[in-house]
Parts: sequence; C-alpha cells; structure tokens
Amino acid sequence: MPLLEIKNMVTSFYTEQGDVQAVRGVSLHVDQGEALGIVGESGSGKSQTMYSLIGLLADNGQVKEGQFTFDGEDITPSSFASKREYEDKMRKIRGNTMGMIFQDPMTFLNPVLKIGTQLVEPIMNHNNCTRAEATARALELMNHVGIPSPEKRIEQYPFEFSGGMRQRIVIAIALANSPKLVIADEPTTALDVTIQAQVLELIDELKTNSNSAIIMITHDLGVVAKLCDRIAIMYGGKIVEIGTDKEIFYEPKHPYTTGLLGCIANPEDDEEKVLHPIPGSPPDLLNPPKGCPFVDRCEKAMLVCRDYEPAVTTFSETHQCSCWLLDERAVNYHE
Amino acid sequence: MSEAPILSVKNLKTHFDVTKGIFSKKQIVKAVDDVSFDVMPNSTFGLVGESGCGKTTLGRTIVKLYNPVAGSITYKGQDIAHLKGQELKKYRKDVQMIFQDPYASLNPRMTVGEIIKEPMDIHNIYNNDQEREERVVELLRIVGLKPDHIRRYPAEFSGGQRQRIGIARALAVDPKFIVCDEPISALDVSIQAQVVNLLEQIQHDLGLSYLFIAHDLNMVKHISDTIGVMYLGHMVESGPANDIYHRPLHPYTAALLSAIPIPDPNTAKAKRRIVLEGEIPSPINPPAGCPFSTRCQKATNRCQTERPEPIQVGTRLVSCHLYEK
Amino acid sequence: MSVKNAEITPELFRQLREDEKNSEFIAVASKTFVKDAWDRFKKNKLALFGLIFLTILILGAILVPMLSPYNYESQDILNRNALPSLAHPFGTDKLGRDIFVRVMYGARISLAVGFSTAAINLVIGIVYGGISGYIGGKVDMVMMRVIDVIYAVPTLLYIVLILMIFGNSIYSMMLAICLTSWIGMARQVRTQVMSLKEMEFALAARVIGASDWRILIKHLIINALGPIIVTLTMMVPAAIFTEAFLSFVGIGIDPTIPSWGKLANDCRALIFSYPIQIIWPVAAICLTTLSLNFVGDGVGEALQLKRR
Repeated sequence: MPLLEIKNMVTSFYTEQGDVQAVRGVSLHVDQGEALGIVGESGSGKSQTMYSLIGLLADNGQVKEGQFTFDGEDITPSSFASKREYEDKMRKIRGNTMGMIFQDPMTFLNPVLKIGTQLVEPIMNHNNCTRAEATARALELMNHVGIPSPEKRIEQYPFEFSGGMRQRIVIAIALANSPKLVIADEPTTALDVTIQAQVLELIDELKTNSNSAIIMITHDLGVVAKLCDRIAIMYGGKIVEIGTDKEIFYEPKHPYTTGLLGCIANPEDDEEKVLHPIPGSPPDLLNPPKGCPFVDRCEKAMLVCRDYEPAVTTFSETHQCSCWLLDERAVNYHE
Repeated sequence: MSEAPILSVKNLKTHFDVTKGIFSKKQIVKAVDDVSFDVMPNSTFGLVGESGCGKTTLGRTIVKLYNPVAGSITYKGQDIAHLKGQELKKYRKDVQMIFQDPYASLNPRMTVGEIIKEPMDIHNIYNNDQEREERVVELLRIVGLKPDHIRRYPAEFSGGQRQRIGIARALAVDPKFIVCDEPISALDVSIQAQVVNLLEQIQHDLGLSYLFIAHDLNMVKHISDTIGVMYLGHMVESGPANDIYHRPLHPYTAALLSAIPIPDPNTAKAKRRIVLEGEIPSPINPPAGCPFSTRCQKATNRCQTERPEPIQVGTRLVSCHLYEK
Repeated sequence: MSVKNAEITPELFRQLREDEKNSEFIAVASKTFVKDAWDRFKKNKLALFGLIFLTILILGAILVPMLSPYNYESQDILNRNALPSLAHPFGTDKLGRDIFVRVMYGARISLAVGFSTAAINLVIGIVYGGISGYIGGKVDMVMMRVIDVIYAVPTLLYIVLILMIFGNSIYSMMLAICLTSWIGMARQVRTQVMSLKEMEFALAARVIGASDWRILIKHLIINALGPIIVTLTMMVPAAIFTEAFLSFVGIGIDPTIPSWGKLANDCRALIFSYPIQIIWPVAAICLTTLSLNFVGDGVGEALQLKRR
C-alpha cells in the first residue's frame, strides 16, 4: 500500500471573474522512501495540488472532488464531520509525519521569534519531551543541516540569517520529527546555484538516511533529474505524463514533455544544440479547454484534441501518458 | 581577434556609499571593483555569478544608470564617461537594455504601442506619427505579437509576452549593443527558450552585440561566445564559453560549474559537486587578498594578503595565484 | 469524463492547421485605463453614493441661490424661526432668512475653499515632492528640513496671523489653509516617487534617453496617481472642516457671508429653543465630509493595479 495516494483531485478558486479550475482531476501515489518530482510551469496547478492535499489552500480555494489517503488514514477534507475537525487533524499531521519546505523561508519563519523557539516548540509539541531534550535535538538538527556554531545561532532571529541559512532552518524544522513524507515546493528557486546544490544534497540525504518519501515541486528539470526517482509532468491542471526519471527524460511520450526537454540547454553537450521553444502561452484556467489543455501550443494537435479529453495510455507499470496521438486511430490515420 | 572591440571596459570600479547618518563611519559597497573585459562586434559576452557579485551593477554602469568611480568604458573608440547633450543621446540610441522583471519593466499606465513608440519620439526617428506606428507594428511582428495588441496594457499580457514587448522597446531605436540583464530568469522554461531564440534571431538579422547577464549557467553557455565569471565585484575568469565549461581554471569557476543541475538523470545522479564552505563575504568588507580566498580549498597565505592580477592562460584571463609562473 | 467511442470519428484525427490554434490568446477583454477604473469604482456602492451626493450638492450650490425667490440676506420678519414648510424647506432662522438658501450658499463657500485649496496643494505638492524625491540626496534632505520647520509652527497660529494681515476674505482663508496643508501632499508624492524611481520601467525610461521631466511626469507621477488622488480627496474635507471650525469660533471669513461654520454659530444660541436649525449646517458638513471620504476610498481602490 502506498504511503500517499491521491485519487481524482479537483480544486478551484473563486474569483470575481469566475471559478479558476487550478487542479482538474489529478491522481498519483508516492511510496515510502521514493522521491516524486512534479514538474510544470507557473499556473500548471503543481503547487495547488499539494496545498489542497495538506489543507493550506488560500481562503477562496476549495477541494471539490477527490480522495486522499496518507499513511493509512483518510485525509479527504469532505470525510471529516466539520472543518474544525479536519484542520485539527491536519495540524497534527503537518510538522509531524508530514514535513514541508517552501520557496520563501520567510513565509514559514516567524520574524519576531528566535530560531531556537521555532525549532524547539514543534519538537516538544509532537514528542512529549522536556525543553532540555528538545533543545538537544534542535542543536543536533542544526548541526546536521550544516549550520556552523548552532549554540550561538539558536539564540538569533531569522533576519540574522542569509537566504540559504534560512532555508536550512526550514529544512531542520521539517525534519524535526523524522517525517514519513517531505513536501518541498520550489525549495531552491530563490537560491544561488552553489547554495541550491547544498540544499538539494541535504534533501537527498534525508531520503537515503531516514527512508522518507519526498515530493519535489519545481519547474527546473535539472533539479528533478538530480533528485527524483519518478516524475509527473503537469500542464493546465492535469498530469499529462508520469514515469520514472529515465522514462521521462529518455522516452518521453507527450508532446509537452518532449517540448520541455527541447527547451533546455545542456552544458554537457559538445555541439551547439538548437533550442525548440514551445510557441505561445499556457492556457487560462478560468475557461479551461474542453479537451487536451496543450492543444493550442502542440505541434501535432489534431481536431479531436480540442473537444475530447485524451485517455490514459499505459506503457509500463510506472509510465503513463494522456495524449490522443497514442490512440491507435491517430496512428492509423497518419499512416 | 584582430577586430576592434565594440565595447571595452578597463579597470572599472562602481562603488556605493551606504553610510547611514551623518556621523557614522563611512561605509562603501564595492559592487564592481577593478573589472576589465572586451565585447566584440556581433558577439555575445555572457556574465555569470551569484547574487551580490556585481553583475547587474556592471550592466547598469555600462548603460550609464550608475557612474563609475574609476576606470573607463569605451564604446566604438569613444570614452563614454563625460558624454553630454547630443553625444549622450547618440549613445543612448546605440546602447539599449532589456530588464529582468517583465512585471516591473513596463510602465503599467501606458499601452503597448505607447511603450514601444516612446524611444522613437524621444530620438525623433521617423518623420511622423504614422510611420512610427507602422514601425511599432513591424516590431510587434518581429517579437511574435499581433498588431491588435498595440492598444492593450501590459497587465493583460503573460510574463513571456511582456518580456517580448521589452525587447521590442529596446529594438525601437535600432541599437547596436544591448545589455540583457537576466532577461529570462523570471520566465517559465518553455518561455525562456522563446526569448533566447528570439534574441539569437535578432542578433543574426541585425548584427547586434549583447552583454548577457544571467545566473542560469546552462542558458548562458548556450547563448554566449565569451563568458566572464564574477565573484564579489571581481572578474575572476573570462574566455571562450566552451573552454570555460570544459576546463574551468579558477577554483571558483570550477565550484560554480560543478553545482549546475544537469537536466539528464544519468549524468546528474553520478555527478559530484565541489563543496564550497561558508558564504560570500560582505562587499563592504571584502577580503584583503583574493576575494575567493576565504572559501577556496587551494588558498595559500599569499592568497589572503595579495590580490592576484589577471594573467593570460591560453585563450583565457584568470585572476588566480595558482597560475602564476 | 469518458466519451462514447462512437462519437469519435476518424475525421477527428486530422491534424490542426497553425491558423486553427490560438497560442497568443489573451483572455481578458481590452479596456482603457479610465474605463477599467470606472467599472471598478461603480462596484463600490458607498463611493457611488458619495459621488451622487456631491453632484447634487454642487448643482444645488450653483442653482438654488440663482433660482430661489429669496437671497441669503432677505428677511421675512413675519416668519421668524419657522419650521420646515413648502415655502421654506429647511425653515427660517431668527431673522426670518431662508435656511435652505443659506445652506446652499454656504456650500459655495465650503466647496470653493475645499476644492481650490486641494488644487493648489496638488500643484505645489507634486512639484515640491516630485523634485525632492526624484533628485534625492542632499537636495532632498534640505527640502525635507524646510518642510519640518514649516510643520513645527502650529497651524492655527499661521491662520490667525494671515487672516489678521490680509483681512478675513475667502482668499486669505484659502491662503492660510494652503500654507501648511500642501506638506502632506508633498510628502506623499515624495515617498511614491522615491519608490517608483527604482522600478525597472523608470530605469528603462532613462536608458531610452527620456528627459528628467518626462520621467517624472509620464512614468512616476502617473503611477502615483492612486495614492495622490486619495490624499487629495482627504484634503478637501479637511479644508472644509478647518474653514467651518474657524467660522464657528468667529475668526473665519467675513461674518456677513453665510459659510456653514457661521450658520452653525448663528444657531448656537437657539440650540435649546429651536434645535432643528443647527441640524442643517451640521448635517451638510458631515455628509459632505463623509461623501468625499467614500469617493476617495473608491477612487483609490479603482486606480489600484491588477496583475494578470
């Protein structure tokens, strides 16, 4: 049984102009000890999928459909008797069995509390231990994430830390209770390359050392190539292709995946690669396309793509893709 | 390389006074400190470095948004330090800039047409409004937008579309040299390639030169002929793009390149990174010797006291004591 | 979700032509800046109420004294302290003068004082604050210290002095109010200009060779219009209030002119015998001030930029 399972998640946001359908039927699962990368452009719904799961949607957002199971428990919002009960449950899970790392560490850290307080309190809350024991654990964690002289640093405030150091603190807090699942939302986007590499290694160690599962949300294919075992490609609120890292990078099936890979330069390549950009801009999810969301930017788009949703084609136990081109009728027609 | 460079920067220093209050000790940020490089006609010079290394300040000094405290910038053989009146206007027409943030670089109260037409109005090119309008439509077509976008406001466009409007504005005065200040870092992957291809296409068609500033090392390698690596206000290494990526000489360049996430699972998972200890020192109190000496694993006593001068190693200029004979 | 297979005919697998795709599609309708702001202003009911009230008041102030059979001084001795009636909608005062006409005439004074001081403040504030914020550095420091010095002397002192020296005309009243109230506008403009001038679009304007004035007006001030208009609409009621207050305590403009403050003062003595008389000028002051505040809020919101 997988550690996390999401079935057919639908989430939308209420706005003045109408409902924005950010997540439109996403299903995925994550096993113990594996790293899943969710790749997509801004507005693809990759972050909102995770916010829907952990119960941190903005006030105008609502999970309309879906069923979520985590660690053997049902955490679907609609399965709880009241909103309050759901929020209590999620508060217990977050920071305990589920850790989180965000893009901007300052959205997570309280600027007027000492780093020590922000680390020690969650440990005490979830573990029922004394302050001294919790402090010892906090120092150990700070040491582990590579913060020099933690005894001095634990007395400082977030503003006294650099961006990279703050992100390490957030990671330390996420790790405090040896979570089973860590969700990282663009954790390195705001960081410089050398700092990014340090943070990625830290997350990677977590997977190997404590067998935690990781969900890495990012737009950077380099990051998922380095860190992830499986990759889901999201576009227009849907997962268009999912597979292992090698299946996605070496045998991509969806035109969007192929397109993304054609957009990036690889410095290891000797001869000059010609970039093949995907024309146009992502769809507006206020009025989402009826069929495949990629239709207007797809080189090989067909009449059927505009009005009918493509079915899921399975290539291997791990590799699935939704595209009309994979339909046998498309193959016949072109031949 | 017998050709004369279109732009030549010599020992440039741009410092900022950040002293707070009248009576406190004077504090100077040495954002750009003793930087020299040449940009050849019809080529791209890529400038890389981490945040705070002074690459944006350098770019802004070249377009005369900041005044340097020492050194010289020579454009087509003319020192630009004391340009005034018509000569400054001529320089402004020749040297343009593309900005980083597509959401902040377009005046939200002007229509797309007004934004692209403004440089033509200022420099009084084309005879009348109608000719300018025709040129705006042509520019929109070059950057892949539609003529009917002319009356719309920037807020109605997506990030990539806005960046292309910024490019059209820069092209409006037929410049010869464009400083691209991280033009793709705020864009999505699929859109980045659109903009990079557009810039390459324009360079090919119009024979422009670029100074391409970025922190995305993959794209810089792709677009640049020559690359300069900056650290803490200094240019630590410069040379042909392929040489630098394949055999970095300066220890900082080596560390920086080893940290690039490679978009290929087999290579990426096998790759080992050169570990950098500590953080970038403050540019208010930079190390006395080599700026990188505080984090360099190969640093000697000499590195901590004596600043290395740039020396020629093969095709490259490197500022490091390791390569002195 | 699932589609019946029969529906999907082989013809549907024809490839789309380039012109059948819409990749540079813009979803939002194109609106001009003014239309967009007006659409959002309309949604704010309080602001709309304020605007309607002010329009009626301005029309009343212009038309009522012109069309009414009474002028603000004409007395109806037989009809003193009358209650509201058809002939006198607000009743009459202790000398038998029509209160409705007097309140409407007072609106002329109050609105004139309010709007003209605000207009003068706008010009001085934009020029002074704009220059100070745009140049910055030492110039800014000196200009701000000058403001501090002006600000340090109590406002009432200036006003009383100016009214003493230049006489108690409506013009010296405007001068007196303007002398200190432009400071708020100048500070607001300066703050806005200082933060906007570091934005990339302002840098872009410098790179394309725009002159300093062009940058200041076309790129900076125009983007600060929202906060400037909000400050402006708050200045109008402040000026109206100051004038009313000064007239009420008896050091305002010429006592024969019925400004709202003077009207309230006239009725003060009769507050227990004819309380209804004081309600009219006080209500006029309150509703006008409130309406202007609503309108200010509405305009401020309407001018805020939205991102896609």
